[in-house]
Amino acid sequence: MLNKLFWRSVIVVLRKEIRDAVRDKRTMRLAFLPALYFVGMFAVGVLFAINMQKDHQQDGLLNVRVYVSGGEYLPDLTQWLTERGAEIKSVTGDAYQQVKEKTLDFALIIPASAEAERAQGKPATLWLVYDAANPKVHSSVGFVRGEVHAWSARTGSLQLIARGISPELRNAVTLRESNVASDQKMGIYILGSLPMLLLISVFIGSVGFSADMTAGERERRSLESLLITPTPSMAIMLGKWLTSVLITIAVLLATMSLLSIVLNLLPFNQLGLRVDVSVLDMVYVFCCLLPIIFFAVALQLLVAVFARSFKDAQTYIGLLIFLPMVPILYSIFNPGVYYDWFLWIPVLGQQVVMKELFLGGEMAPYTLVKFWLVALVLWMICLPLAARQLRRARIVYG
Amino acid sequence: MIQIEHVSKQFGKVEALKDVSFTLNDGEITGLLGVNGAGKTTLMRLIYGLLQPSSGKILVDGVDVAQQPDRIRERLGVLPDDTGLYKRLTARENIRYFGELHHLPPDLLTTHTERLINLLGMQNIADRRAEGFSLGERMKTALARAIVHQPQHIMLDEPTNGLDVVTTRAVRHMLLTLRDQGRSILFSSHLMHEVTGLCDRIIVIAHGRIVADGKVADVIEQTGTASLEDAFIYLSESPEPDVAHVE
Amino acid sequence: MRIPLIGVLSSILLCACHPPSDEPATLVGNVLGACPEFSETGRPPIVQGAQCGTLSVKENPQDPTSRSIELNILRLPAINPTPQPDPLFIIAGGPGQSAVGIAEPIWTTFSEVRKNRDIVFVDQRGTGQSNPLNCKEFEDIPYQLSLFEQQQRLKSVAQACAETLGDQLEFYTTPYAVQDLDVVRQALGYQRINLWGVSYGTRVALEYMRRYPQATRSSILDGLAPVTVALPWHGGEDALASLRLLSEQCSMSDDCARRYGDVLNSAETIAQRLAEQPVEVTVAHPRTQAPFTMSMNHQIFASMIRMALYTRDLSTLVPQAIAGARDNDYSLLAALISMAGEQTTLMNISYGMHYTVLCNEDYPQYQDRAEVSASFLSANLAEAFAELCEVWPRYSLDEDYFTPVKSDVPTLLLSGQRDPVTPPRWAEQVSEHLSQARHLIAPGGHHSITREGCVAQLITQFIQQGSATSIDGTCVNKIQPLPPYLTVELQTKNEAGSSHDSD
Repeated sequence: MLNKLFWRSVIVVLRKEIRDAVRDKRTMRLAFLPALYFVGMFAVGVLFAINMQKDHQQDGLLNVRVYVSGGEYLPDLTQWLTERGAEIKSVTGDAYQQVKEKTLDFALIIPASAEAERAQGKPATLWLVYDAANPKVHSSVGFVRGEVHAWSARTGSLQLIARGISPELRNAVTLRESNVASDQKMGIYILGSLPMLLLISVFIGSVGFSADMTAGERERRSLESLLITPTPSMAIMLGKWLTSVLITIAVLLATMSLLSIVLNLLPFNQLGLRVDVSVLDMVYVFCCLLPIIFFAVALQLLVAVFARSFKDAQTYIGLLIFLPMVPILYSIFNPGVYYDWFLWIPVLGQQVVMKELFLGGEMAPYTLVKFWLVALVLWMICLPLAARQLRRARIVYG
Repeated sequence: MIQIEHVSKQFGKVEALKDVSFTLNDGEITGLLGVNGAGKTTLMRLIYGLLQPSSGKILVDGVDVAQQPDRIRERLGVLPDDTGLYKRLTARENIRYFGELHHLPPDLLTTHTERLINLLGMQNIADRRAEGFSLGERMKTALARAIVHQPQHIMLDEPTNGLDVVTTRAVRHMLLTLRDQGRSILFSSHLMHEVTGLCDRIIVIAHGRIVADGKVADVIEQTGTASLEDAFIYLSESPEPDVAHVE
Repeated sequence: MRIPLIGVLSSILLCACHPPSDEPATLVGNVLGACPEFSETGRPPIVQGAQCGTLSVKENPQDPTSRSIELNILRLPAINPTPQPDPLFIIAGGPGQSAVGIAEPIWTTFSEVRKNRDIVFVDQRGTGQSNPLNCKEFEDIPYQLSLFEQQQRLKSVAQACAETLGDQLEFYTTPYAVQDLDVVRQALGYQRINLWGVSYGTRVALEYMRRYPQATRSSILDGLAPVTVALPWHGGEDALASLRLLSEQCSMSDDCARRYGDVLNSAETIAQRLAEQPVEVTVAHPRTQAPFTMSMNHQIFASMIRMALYTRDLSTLVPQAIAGARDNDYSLLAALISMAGEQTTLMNISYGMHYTVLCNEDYPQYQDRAEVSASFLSANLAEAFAELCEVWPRYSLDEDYFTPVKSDVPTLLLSGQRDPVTPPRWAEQVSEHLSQARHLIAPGGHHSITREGCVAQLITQFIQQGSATSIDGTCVNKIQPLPPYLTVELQTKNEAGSSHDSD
């Protein structure tokens, strides 16, 4: 079967399918669109995060609007907040109720008793009232919380010194934290989604074409004529598979090129993250995804062969996207967990390795060998199965 | 030569063909007649190997279809019932694709393609995409696609369906030429006058059995009717008729 | 970061030495590598990816046969993988403080700058891990001794220290350090650098601007200590000005004035009293509560008040401390002194380098005018300093070094209005010769204001823009003096009133 004629048939099918695909402008657009909107979404997300950070800045200086009720009872504290970048907004009336009614985002309530309590050296109780379900308030509330604590600690230390007691005695231990993640590793919060994004684009890159070449061929009744030619069904499948693989590779390359541009242009450093994805890293990422493309497309064709119509096929293949989701969800719920066997699980292995690459890590040796072995085994199951299905009467005439 | 030997085909409990035997000879045009559901299409599908017989066997030039389906397909040119084109390819590309799948050398492929295009009067649609073709244009393209590799055996399921008079004539002329080249041609049709004028032999199939097989005149005579149409209706309507072999 | 206790000390000597040459030393490739691991140092690196290394330079750059010393370098690489080409060099004060040593407490102040620029810390020669010229004995002079005994002890420690350290001291003045800095710049492959210097560090930065204008992109000078001013001779006036401001602030507030009276007046009264008759004070140690006795004299009193005025926090305790001392309660002062002692140790000043700089750069300028220097709270702070410098080796420096630095480098000058040692007036003087300078004064700032209020953000902007012209510095006015600490006891009146209300 694997003689010269076989391969010539493969090439004939491939050439025809490519020509057919290239002329299918609409499907082609749909195939490349995800590249744009995935990368676009990613870029918008990052810009949004950066903007969130600048939320409290005015002309590059910190300026946090802080709603204070009873600021006059602790003028030292309000002065401190102002110095640290707060724009104090005095609240009149029932601040608590106003926050509850959402006319105020949050409020620092200083009760009238605070003045007397401070004068007696007692810790005055203040209230920081906010609606935690409103994500907008978190950074402002965080600012107030941090600065009130800082002021309180500072004033507390002075109270001790004033009594001849070392402020060191306030604490039994000093707990220092050290984050062992490099600035690049911290990029996981931003770049963690990229492997999934690339995996999904690999899985959906050629959905339209795979469906058209199988279920579509069946639906428009050209399959029968095709099968009456002496072309082995494996050659037909291989030709179609190569077509989808090439298109998926093109989609992936487009996605990755856009991504490279975006990664280079976005000011990640403003988020305190170092994003340093080299061309070599991108090449490695591509090499990781290539075996996935091999078996994912075979799987697509296998599924699509069973579909009665082009639309059914698209739906079925669309469901295949959940396949990469499973290992990804696993790694989301088990972050940081890694076992060597991960590399043997398609998609999960790629997800782990690509994340590592994006965050400046390296690939373990033989990783690609493992990826290819697994992909070839799956490929050798899926594609011949699809080819066999092609000739079944149920498929041709069903 | 295509030999069909005691072929039966069952779809579940339905018996589509029952112990069918006949031989198609080279240099002969055979008309396959039968009402809808009589088993014409099933029989053809069995011959080109997309269906496997429940029993019996089919030999194409001595080669068992079940054993070497790919080899026999090289020798067949088939226009299946209700076949589709690749609508984003032009008529010529559609034709050439199948020629290539039959591994025709490029120059030969060009020669054959151009000849068929001329023969079927397709010059005006040759470079148009198949999308939006009329029924006749589709049929012509599919026909050309089916025989571009100059097969020894040609099977056509209602090939003149939707063709205009001029083209029908051209097709008829072409089939006669192919026969004279020593090829065997099997085609099914509803048009009795076409069958009468063209076929060297007709096979009538009813209820999965061959109810008549012979020259047109012989069949008419055998049934004792006045015309082929009468004979056909007689044969098709008689319940479970005996096998009538007219040599 | 501070010029510590220089008022308590003293001496002299002289020498002839060669001015440093401008020829760059041999460059060393791959200066930096990963910082040593936790297992080696017992502490994690400041940030992951921090780079450590040393660069070898000739102790005497003019003499190829001179021995080599290693400069200790720490670099916190920019977060941006393609950072701006000009890093920020951090220059510590003292003199004698380790730049690498202050990296840990100070780096977060520059974390915004670090997003786009490397931050580089270089231990100045003679400090930190760059062939430190340490004299720990300076920190071991017991407070229990009388003033005379302390001064004698100080002198002998200085003498012993100078003898131990020997002739090498010649090469540890500012001009050599500035040359080192440029060698480091070249070795690390930077075309231009930004400078941040605090206190004495501003002197180093200014000299760098003068010598390497092409290599200086911008400069931030926090608390000006230019060599032209010779601060030790002005310590008295400046400390007094700071205390006066505090005293005025207290008299403006009813609560403060009622509790503590006229702070400045009280302080002067106490100082006179102590100058006539030092007292023995026994207090509980602030941490251990173990009783410790010290001799309280006017020198120590003045130094302590001056010391407290360095920081915003401690200065709020000064009115209470002075009011207490006025009523013969020295406990708060004593506690402050003992805490200050511990803090000084933490600052890890290399006193060998400290006195080499001060006695060769500051002391000679007013040698014969020690007497005219204004006293602070009856104590002539310069006197003790002069006495120490008398026994310290002296070397000659290039006369040009003592002329004002003229520069077109964009410069941001930062001052705290209440700084008792580097007040705004010195920055004003320096800025006269700087064409691109901007001077920001924090009304409530003391010594060094980089970490107060919005200043770090302004520094970030300034470095980003490489120009001071468009900086809106009005936010430094939000840095107001902290209110003096008010004791609880004296407030019980109010409290009683309010508790009646609530009943």
